[in-house]
Amino acid sequence: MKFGFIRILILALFFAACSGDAEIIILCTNDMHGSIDNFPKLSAYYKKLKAENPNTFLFSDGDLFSGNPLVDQYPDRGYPIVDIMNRTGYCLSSVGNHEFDYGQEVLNRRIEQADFQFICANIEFGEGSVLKPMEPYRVFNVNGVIMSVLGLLEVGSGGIPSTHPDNVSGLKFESPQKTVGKYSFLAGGSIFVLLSHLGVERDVDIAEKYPDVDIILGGHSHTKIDSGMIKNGVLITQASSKLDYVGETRISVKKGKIVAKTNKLVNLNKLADEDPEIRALVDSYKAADPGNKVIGQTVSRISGKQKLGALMTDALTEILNLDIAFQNSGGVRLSSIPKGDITMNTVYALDPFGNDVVRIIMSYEEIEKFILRNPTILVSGISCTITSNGKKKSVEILDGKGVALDKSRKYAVGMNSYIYSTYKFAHEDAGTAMNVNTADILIKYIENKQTVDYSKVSARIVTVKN
Amino acid sequence: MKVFVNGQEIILFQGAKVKDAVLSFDKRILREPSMYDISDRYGNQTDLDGALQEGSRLFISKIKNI
Repeated sequence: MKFGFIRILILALFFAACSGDAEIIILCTNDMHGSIDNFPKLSAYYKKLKAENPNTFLFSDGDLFSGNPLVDQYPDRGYPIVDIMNRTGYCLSSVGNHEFDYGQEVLNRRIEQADFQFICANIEFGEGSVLKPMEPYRVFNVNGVIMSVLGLLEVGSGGIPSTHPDNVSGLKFESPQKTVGKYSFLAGGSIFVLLSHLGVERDVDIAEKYPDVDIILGGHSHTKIDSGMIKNGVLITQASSKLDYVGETRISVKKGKIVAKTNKLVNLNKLADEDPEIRALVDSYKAADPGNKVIGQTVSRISGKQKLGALMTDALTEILNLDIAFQNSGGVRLSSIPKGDITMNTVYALDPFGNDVVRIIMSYEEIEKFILRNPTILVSGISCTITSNGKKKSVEILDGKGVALDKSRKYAVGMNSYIYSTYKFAHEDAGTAMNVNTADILIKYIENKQTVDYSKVSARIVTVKN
Repeated sequence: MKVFVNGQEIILFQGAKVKDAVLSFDKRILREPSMYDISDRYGNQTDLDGALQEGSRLFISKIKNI
């Protein structure tokens, strides 16, 4: 993000004049992930505080999306939660990693739709980026008290936020630590706030390095910080997730200096008052539940773990361009899908766990050992014949064309995060989250195919005794 | 990435969440997660969908019946 010397000079003059008194309240939610049930209570609470103190602000700290089919599968993805946030009175949001989950074009539409502003200081907008540039920070003048708010986004070890890499193509991301240093001139006002979608541990790192920051309104790690933590003089807050809580930060400023800053969590589930207008809006979205939407058809009944597992794993290999995919039979939660229409609810009933897909680069030997150790695993991309001769077992693995796997090659293997975390297997590559949910991949697969036929599919791993 | 649950080292994929660390540590915990308190190194309660980073430390304890 570029900013010029003149802009900093103007801000410096602006900050120099900052000597007012103010009592400021910031309500902040983080990681809502499409949860909309508590908006009527949040709205009533915000409006009550705002009536008592006009210097009350409502912020969001990112990850508005991903986690509720009502929002994620809406025809214009994500529309409902931005609509509800508009009417609740949000004025600012950081950008979370899951804001990219629908792709940059959809995010542009959501930003355009929003009556509140999105800020992020550590995205570098290149020529190939579809996402339109946004402001890195916002400066509020509250009765002569200058409050600067800087937006920060988590950057993972691969140099991008935790979303599918395709979703952030053309964008570059700067280290948040470095970014804070670059914008440290914002501490020249009365209050310097980070709207940080980094996770509490990185927030503590920043607090240790930059004591000029006054307050970090945090997100990403879904941490419930009951009354704020003070680290190196910096107040760090976070309000769990899914709109169960709102963080309430109160700042007292006298003659341009902070004299008190406190935070508490308000449990929205325990509040009684609701805003009837927001209640009606939330109910109207809930009534339009997309779960019954028909996403495709099956030409015949898909019955049994082998056929259903083939459907689930074929979705992974095809949509995510993997060589091989594995599915645990215990994770297949329907006994069959009847002939005819397939709805979203059918997919969520088949695969209700919300597991992420993990991609691991595995050698032939690692794959061979995995299959021999887990002969009931369901697969796509390969077929296997395990020959059992007493205690001695061997396996022949063929690819989708019936050709033996190349023993010198490595293969891109996908599996759900449950298999990764609970099965013991050797793998040199630690693996990477693809930041997509297995059920959502299956929905996309069926939508793309429109018609699926698993009538001729049989077990892809068979065991024969020699 | 390497994280720690009750001091035990656990190797997880990049982008893993608290749920993945808990499953690796003891999958039985997720059968009744409300029976357990899961907190970070600062003693804050953390959500199963919360993000982890290299070196994160989690502490799990069973909630005593009152």
